[in-house]
Amino acid sequence: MTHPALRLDDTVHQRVRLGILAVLAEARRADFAYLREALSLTDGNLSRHLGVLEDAGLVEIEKRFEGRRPRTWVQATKAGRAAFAEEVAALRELVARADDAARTAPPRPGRAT
Amino acid sequence: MRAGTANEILSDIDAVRGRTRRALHPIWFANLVTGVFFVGATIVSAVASGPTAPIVYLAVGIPVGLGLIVAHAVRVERELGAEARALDPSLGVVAAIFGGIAVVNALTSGDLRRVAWMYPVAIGWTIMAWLYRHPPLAVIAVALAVVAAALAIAAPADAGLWGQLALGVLLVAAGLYGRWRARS
Repeated sequence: MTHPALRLDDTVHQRVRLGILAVLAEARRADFAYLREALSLTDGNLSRHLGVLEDAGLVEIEKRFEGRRPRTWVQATKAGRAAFAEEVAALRELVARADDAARTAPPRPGRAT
Repeated sequence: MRAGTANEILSDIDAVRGRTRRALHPIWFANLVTGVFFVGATIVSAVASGPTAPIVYLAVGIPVGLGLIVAHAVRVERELGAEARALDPSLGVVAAIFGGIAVVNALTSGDLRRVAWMYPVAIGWTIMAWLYRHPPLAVIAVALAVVAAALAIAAPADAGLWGQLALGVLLVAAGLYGRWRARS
């Protein structure tokens, strides 16, 4: 079986991108301003990470005018939701393995004084 | 990657998801509306001389209450700039509460039946408290279970109505507290 650390996807694993996918795991879609505020990001930083996720086919970005106001909606694709779920599962497995290893490890001999 | 880092990332993910879930589902408003509905239902049932008034109350109150909750949710989504998923887990919990009430009603009789419905509601609110990381719901659940036990022991003539009133008052209190927390 593959070690969970090897299943971590670099595109998804980056903290900001993981945060974006975490928000989109709860919401059907979110607009640019909401993501920026929720994750405390600058416009440029958020744009860059959204671009990476869009290029990887993990989110869909829709730009449109609502009234006179431009609005950018972001939605996770099916692949994006699956990648996020896989990332979380791999992280949980990693933690569980470490916990198991700590439980089954033989006790260290005490240091002689 | 170290397990400690993985754990930290999982906590961050959980926090982001929890904040988004709470922002998209202002549960205090649903608590307040359903609480007022139950208090009203109790008053109507206690005052009415026949079954007509309670039936009319339910026929009007349920769609009005649901309409208010949905309208509020739509307004919140518009203001937030995020939309909730259509199939929210809370809908499953509400359905399970109704299913649980039907089961306990089928399994119980007499005085016990008049308060047994409060237990599936208490279990449902406990799940909701975990789902939305909203401790007041867990407090409601425990308080409701205590009231149900007290009513089962004391067995007053209107145990069902007292239970309904307790649920209504607890929901109103949780709603007002949640509103205060959300705005402070």
